[in-house]
Amino acid sequence: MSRSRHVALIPVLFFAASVASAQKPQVALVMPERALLSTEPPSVRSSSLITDGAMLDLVRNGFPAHLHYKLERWSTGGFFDDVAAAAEWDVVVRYDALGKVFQVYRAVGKRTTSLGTFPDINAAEAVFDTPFPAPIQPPRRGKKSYYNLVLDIETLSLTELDEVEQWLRGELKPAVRGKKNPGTAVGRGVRTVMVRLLGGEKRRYEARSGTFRP
Amino acid sequence: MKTRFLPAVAAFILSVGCSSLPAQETPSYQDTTVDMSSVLNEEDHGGLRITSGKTYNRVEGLPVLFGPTYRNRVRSGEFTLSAFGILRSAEAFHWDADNIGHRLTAELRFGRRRGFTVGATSFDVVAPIEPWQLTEPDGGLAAFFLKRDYFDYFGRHGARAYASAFTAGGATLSAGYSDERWSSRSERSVFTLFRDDENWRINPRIDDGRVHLFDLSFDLDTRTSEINPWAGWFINAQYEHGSGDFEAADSPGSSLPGRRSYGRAFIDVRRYNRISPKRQINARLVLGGWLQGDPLPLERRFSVGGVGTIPGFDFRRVGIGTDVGQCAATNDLPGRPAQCERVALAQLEYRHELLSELFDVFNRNGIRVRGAVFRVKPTAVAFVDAGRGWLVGDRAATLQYPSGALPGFNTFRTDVGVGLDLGIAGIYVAKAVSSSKEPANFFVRIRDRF
Repeated sequence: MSRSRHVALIPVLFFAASVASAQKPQVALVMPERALLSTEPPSVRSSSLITDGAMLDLVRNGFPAHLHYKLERWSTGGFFDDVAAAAEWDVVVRYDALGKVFQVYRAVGKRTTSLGTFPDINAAEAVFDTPFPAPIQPPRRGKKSYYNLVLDIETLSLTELDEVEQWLRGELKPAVRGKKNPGTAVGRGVRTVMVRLLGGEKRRYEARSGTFRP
Repeated sequence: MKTRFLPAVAAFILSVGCSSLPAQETPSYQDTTVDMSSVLNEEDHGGLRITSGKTYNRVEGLPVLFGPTYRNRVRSGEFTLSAFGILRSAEAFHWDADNIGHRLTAELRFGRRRGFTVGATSFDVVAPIEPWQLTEPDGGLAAFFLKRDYFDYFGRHGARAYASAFTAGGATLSAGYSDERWSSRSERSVFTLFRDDENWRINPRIDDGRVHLFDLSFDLDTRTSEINPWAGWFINAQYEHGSGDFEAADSPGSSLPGRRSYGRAFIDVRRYNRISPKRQINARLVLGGWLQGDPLPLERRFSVGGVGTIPGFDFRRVGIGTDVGQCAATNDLPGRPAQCERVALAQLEYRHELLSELFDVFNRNGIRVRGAVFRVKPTAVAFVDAGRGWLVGDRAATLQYPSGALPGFNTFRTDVGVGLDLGIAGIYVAKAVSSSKEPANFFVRIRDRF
């Protein structure tokens, strides 16, 4: 390959990488300014969590997406680090097939709040991707700390019965009728078992702040 | 908290589904605050359920549980009823007595963060003999893919009544009484992906009989997470008093038949310590064994060695001096069952999360299997293990010790090892130290080692 071709390839690869990066599901902690570390909590920002193919299909088919956030504040400096504070909250996204809209709810403690209804999934995602101040107590001044966030995403009500039904309807039945390769259908069933055993019905994202002393 | 919250969220979704909110033209941030207590009181009455049983083994194959569940609130209590039939995939789901079972449960729970539970259950199930050694995904996958089953199994058919008290701090104290029939189960024709032409390891015979059990257990779980915990305690302490009539086992050298009464204790203590944002040191101590009365029946005995305990030694390894793994003094029974009356195991593990920029290339869209997405999170692991089992009685060489004595540490099986845990699975190598001629063992674990 000539050098000019190499040069031409660079921007293409860069563009492809940018696009891929833009679509990457991610979650991040946005820390307050240094002077506010002991008075303000961090914010949680995310992107593309439920807009990728598999999850979007499930939501569109009536399985609500459940996002469970668990943020911990760890104190450090001793022999072992300790959890000094923790907060948990949830976001639920469901598709109302009748109204053809996506509904988004956030539950913090015993308060559940509707964040609105949206005509498309991107708008629904945008509303909970917006930085959300975590309901956690910031550390005292001088206390060396860091934050750790774990986000679990799963589809509510997606039981094994649903999965078995999907498999029977979508793959095994045509295979039995000779319209599809039976080996493939069985193979997919085997993979389903494996995914179940691996715990693949749940997605987990983690984010961690750097260590700081307010 | 989460497990309690999930049904509430499900109920909440059902409730909003019934009273759909008006659609809006543009994204709206006008909040409609919902009183969560009303959501929590919504009724999710259960329904028909089918589940895999989360295991795969050489006796059952894949047990499929199916049946109705019912849940309702009775004043301040929550009542749960489930009636599962069990159909096992062994012998291609052949309809016979060994392939069908049941589990019926009725439970009343009072309190959310702290309270108590009373319940009763009737069961006809296949149970592992030493479930503490290995997590179920690891055991199931090894059986399904490699035809390696690291558990032994026996049949439990009977009923149990129980009561427990729990606190918000993760502590639970339980007591139960059961009347059961224990029976030997044989390995069957069970599908595996590889090594289909090989035979399964024999599932050993146990001491069949009818027993009455009184059990007392204490559990404490303050871990930050059940999977991949960073800090906290995990304690499981059990005492069991059993009495019953045991039949003469066919196996030569098996425990004596007849009326038997015994006391057995078991404790598994784990401590997870985070020492920096990316590093942790975890420790585990397991002690178990005979306390009083007659000798323990085979299904209540112990062993160490293999992937789940001391991976530097092969599972059920014999022929390397005194058998402190299974305590087969002179009786090498078919299937090499656990025969130790007491066991001690200590495990220490250091974990260091590695930089994952390199792996982030693979993480960009995740590793996809059947629509599920897995992400790589590499962690270097170093570990040491030490453990052994022994018999109780008059001192006999280094296999049998009086009740009040402990074997010397120089008689323990020990190993060291390292591994790379990628988050979805870890690959490890372990080398026996106490028997230097043992070759190193490579193995894969799905979950953390403990």
